[in-house]
Amino acid sequence: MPVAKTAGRPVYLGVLISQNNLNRFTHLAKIPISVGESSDTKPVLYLFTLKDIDSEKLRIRGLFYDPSQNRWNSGIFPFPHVIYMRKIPDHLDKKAEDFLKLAEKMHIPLVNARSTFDKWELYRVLCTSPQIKPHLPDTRLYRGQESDISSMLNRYEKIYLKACRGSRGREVMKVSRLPGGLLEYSYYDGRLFIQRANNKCLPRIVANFFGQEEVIIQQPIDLISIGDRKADLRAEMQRNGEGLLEIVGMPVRVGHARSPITTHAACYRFEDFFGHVLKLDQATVSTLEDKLRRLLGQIYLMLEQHYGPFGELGIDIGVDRNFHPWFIECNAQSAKVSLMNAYGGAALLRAYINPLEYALKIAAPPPPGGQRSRLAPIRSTSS
Amino acid sequence: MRTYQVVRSKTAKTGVLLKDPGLDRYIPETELYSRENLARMLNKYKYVYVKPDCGRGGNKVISINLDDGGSCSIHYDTRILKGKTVAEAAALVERISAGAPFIIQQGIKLLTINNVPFDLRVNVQKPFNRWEVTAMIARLRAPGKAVTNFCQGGRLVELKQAFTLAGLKPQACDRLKALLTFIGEKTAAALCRKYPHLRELGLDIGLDRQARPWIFEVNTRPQYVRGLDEKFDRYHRLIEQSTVKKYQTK
Repeated sequence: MPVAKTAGRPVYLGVLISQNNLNRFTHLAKIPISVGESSDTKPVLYLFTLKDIDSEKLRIRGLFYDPSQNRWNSGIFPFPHVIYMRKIPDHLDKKAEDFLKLAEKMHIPLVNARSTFDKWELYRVLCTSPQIKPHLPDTRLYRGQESDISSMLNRYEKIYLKACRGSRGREVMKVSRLPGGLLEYSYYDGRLFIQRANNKCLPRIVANFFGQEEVIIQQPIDLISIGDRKADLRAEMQRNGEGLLEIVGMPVRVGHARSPITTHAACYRFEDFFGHVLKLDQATVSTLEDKLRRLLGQIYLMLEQHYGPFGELGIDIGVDRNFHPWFIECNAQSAKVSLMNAYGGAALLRAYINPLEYALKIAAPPPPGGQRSRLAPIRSTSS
Repeated sequence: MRTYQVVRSKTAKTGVLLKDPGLDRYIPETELYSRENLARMLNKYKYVYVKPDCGRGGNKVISINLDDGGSCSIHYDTRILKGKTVAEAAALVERISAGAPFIIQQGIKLLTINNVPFDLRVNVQKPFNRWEVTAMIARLRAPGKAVTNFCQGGRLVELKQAFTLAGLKPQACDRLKALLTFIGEKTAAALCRKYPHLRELGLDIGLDRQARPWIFEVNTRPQYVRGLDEKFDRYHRLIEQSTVKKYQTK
């Protein structure tokens, strides 16, 4: 069945996914997205991978959901009017880069200006804002010198080395100085490794661990904790169908005992964690929430100013024992697991609807009468 | 017809690149020459390069190595002077510089082919209105010298061959090539924001022992070696023919 046989003008929303994560995104097609009652446009959502792109003929083989058959079919689509990236691309992936360049040339907007962030670049960008700077942990670029590490260790009792493009807590090394001058370093690679080395050996160990990756050195943050379980927040920030910024939820993640990361952890609603678990009074919780909302807004706008518009961001914020917020990192493709666990299905649905409605808002409008002339005719094939 | 801008000062170009949050990591620490800066940089890195701020062709480039005992070994042209103090090294630099501004750059222990260090020349050109990386070539260090410049006797080696001879795995080679292209285009974009009439750039990029790239300098009027690449030659001709006026910005 041809996809274009829909009432009104079709607006194609292409979701770029990785080859192996199709199942994670099939729910997107069933989400009720509205484009305004008066509009005669009809959103058509399809999923595709980099392999499905035909840059010569400007066509894409995509998967679309056919509600009448209650099944997924594959079809040939024109290039979309807007691209929603749900693939984690490597900044050196030639095919992804070529596709994004072509999309830029064709003025096809992206829901998110960036899909990944480089930690050092992010720090440098946020550092330029005097309002955000007090909330950034002291960060240095590691240039392969022992003096880079020792100067930071002189200032803080322990430090973290992180790969600039690492994610999900991988490629993180903790280094601390022991009495007597030896250094203790630890990292997680399937299990926790704790070893010792002297000053001179450490650059070689770091080079072996991170390889060609660029590395930053960061001061530790004394996060609030419950016993020996550390906690941080993942704020799900999105622009809605009207382009307005929303914080869909601020789930608090409490890590496993002694774990340096809070991924795969217990999740609480913001007000539940600070009000009931930490038993803070209502006024303190409200003040903290206001402070966090203000900071999150500033970070979001600062990133948009530098990189371009974002439809959604998951911003990780830590709060120390003095309730001072610290920026940890930023995710352009938040999996929304903590949001679901803390706030439930309704919040999750909202979090999926917002970027799709925002995508339709920014979609390059098709000319009256239907498709753009450069686009190929559409046909479909059953999968 | 277009103009062709040339920027001579290394500190000016380095300053622009250091302001770019995506490029600063590829720039070795660089300071204007002074006795204090030389001592500080030597203490920090043990190995530095001292060169003219507005030099060309690898002339007057000095490398200084500080050993654990505190004595310097100085490599200038084809001569190596050993057992010198930091003060003697500074005196030599001042004699060579004759009052002209010099810079001190963090030394990088380069990747080698048969124990001969090499660096890379990445050419980026803008024949029309878009920057494009058009040629990459490896340059082996000139025999007996501290530099790899072609005009000083450096030997050119095809990029892929150089990577293979240096022991890099094929997958790492592809990744590195993509990274060099990324750096070339990003550098051109950053410099072009400040100097809009640049047309050709030659990036001297060194690879350290972990094969991480470091931008040693950016030449805004790179030496032209014919036959490196057909596209490179064609773009160079186009740029030469369409250029009406060349001017220098210090």
